[in-house]
Amino acid sequence: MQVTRQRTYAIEAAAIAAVAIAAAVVLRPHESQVAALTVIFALAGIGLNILVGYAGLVSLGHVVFFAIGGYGWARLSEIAPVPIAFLVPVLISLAVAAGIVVVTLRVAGYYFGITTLAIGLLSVVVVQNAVPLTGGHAGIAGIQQLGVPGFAGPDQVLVIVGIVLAIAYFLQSSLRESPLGTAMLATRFDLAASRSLGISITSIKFLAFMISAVPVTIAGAFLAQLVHYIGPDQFSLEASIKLIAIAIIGGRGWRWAPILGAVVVVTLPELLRPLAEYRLVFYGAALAFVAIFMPRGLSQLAVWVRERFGSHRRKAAI
Amino acid sequence: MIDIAYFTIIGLCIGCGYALVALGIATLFNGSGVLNFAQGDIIMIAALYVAVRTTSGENYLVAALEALAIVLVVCALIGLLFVKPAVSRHRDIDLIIIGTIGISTILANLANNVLGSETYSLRSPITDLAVQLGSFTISWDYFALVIAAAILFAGYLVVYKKTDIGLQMRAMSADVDAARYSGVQVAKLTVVGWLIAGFIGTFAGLLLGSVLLVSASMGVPLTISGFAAAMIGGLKNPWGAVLGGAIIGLAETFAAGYLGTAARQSIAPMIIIGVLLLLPRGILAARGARSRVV
Repeated sequence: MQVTRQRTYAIEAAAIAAVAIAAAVVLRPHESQVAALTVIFALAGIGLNILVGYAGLVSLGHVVFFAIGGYGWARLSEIAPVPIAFLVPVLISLAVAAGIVVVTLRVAGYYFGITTLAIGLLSVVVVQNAVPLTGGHAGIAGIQQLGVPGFAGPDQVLVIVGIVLAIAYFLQSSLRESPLGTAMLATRFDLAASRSLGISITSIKFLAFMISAVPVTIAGAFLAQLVHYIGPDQFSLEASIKLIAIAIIGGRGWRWAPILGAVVVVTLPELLRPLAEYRLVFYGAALAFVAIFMPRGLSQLAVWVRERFGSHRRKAAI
Repeated sequence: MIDIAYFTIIGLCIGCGYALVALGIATLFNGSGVLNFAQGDIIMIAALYVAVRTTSGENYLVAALEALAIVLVVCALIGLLFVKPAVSRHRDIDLIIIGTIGISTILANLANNVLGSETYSLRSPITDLAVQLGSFTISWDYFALVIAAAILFAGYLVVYKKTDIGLQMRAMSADVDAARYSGVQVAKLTVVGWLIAGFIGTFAGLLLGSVLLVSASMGVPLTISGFAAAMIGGLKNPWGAVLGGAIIGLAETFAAGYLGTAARQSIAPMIIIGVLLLLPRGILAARGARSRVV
């Protein structure tokens, strides 16, 4: 059972990478810009999906890791080799994540939400005002990107992030089957019961938060590469809410949630160009609607479709 | 020396405004168990609407009444939406956070599109009445905040402690199921809770609007200030919110006066983090340990 699931995930991950590469070949530059943006947010969504879907912690402050990734790449790629420009921001993110866990160790539920929102707000203030580091309101322009032979412009980012997303997807899905993932799910649904089984809530919370920071940081670095410019607008509180919205709209804990959630939150609004002003209203409404009427997000829809049209051999996976 | 006195007075008055933000959050929380991340945006709607209307020449009082009507309609609609999660047996806190955040995003961006993204400073009829303090002038708007906060807090305590609705709210905040079995109409009360939050929010908006800058994006920072004020005293204790509001108002005013805007913006989030680190039970909350886990 375990092995066949792993194999399914590996095949699905390969399919994700194949779709991203095919999209890079087929799409026109503007379209692949949108596709790359979607894939970047899906990658970040994987972090949030692990945090909120597996461990049950709603973070409204993950923009801080997004910003560390983006500004880290922007500054380091000029002076250091590529692996360092990725690795150092990830390490900084892990250190910051550890600090946040120490602060929020004693709280859960509402207070965790409030505290992470406060951290998000602090991150926004820092981004706007730490001028030597972030360029303040002017931001940083002319950021380098990784090259892929045979592709040009946004296609290069799309190919690389597509492959990274596939890897992250495989790890995310496998984590759910692992003892650590099972322990996380246990703490999400019943704190007392999981404690009585000998699960250390503190270390689960710690690990979940640390793990969730990594894909968000890497996604931030790719966002900087995709648009060649970063500024406070990209790392606002709205971005923070967008990140959590992806996991919630997709369906907390479902393995496809980050990708489908990113399609709803990033791609759909881009398609509704004429209504650009109402883009944010749309995703606010999507958030409220899902929270109130569709608590399991798009996964609920998927279950419904499968029960209605699919084979009856397999029952709902969620 | 005189500037310290000035900042102290201003800070305490603005603090009363933050206490009102916290009161709006606390009434809904104690009335239906919903922690409202959109309270700042409800306040923003009232302030921005009146600012836009008075700038285009409408009478202040008429605009204020219209704002009250709009906010109450909006809150009634949101209340109806939140009936479903409020009455459900298994209360999913994650979804309430996300739902009210979604509402906050809708309100902020609708206001931005409908009322515009300009920044206003709201002028009330008493803005020109002022008290002279050395070289500083303090407008009566600041003192109005204190008076209004005193009246609204007293009214809230009377409703909460003495009336039947208050009793039902206390029952609901303690245990939804037990309240339901004792005959509390959970759905109706949820809407009432939102309406009270909207009523308090409108006054907070009108009063804070004349001492702070008004714009469509003022909502989330206000919510954070309200949370910070509420956390200092513990959400269950409205008097804590007064003390918390005063601390934040003072800290923000002094930070703005001596260190600049960036320092002012980081005060409320820093206080939230500081309170969690140093005083996890709040300053005043004797029974706070339990409520903190909610």
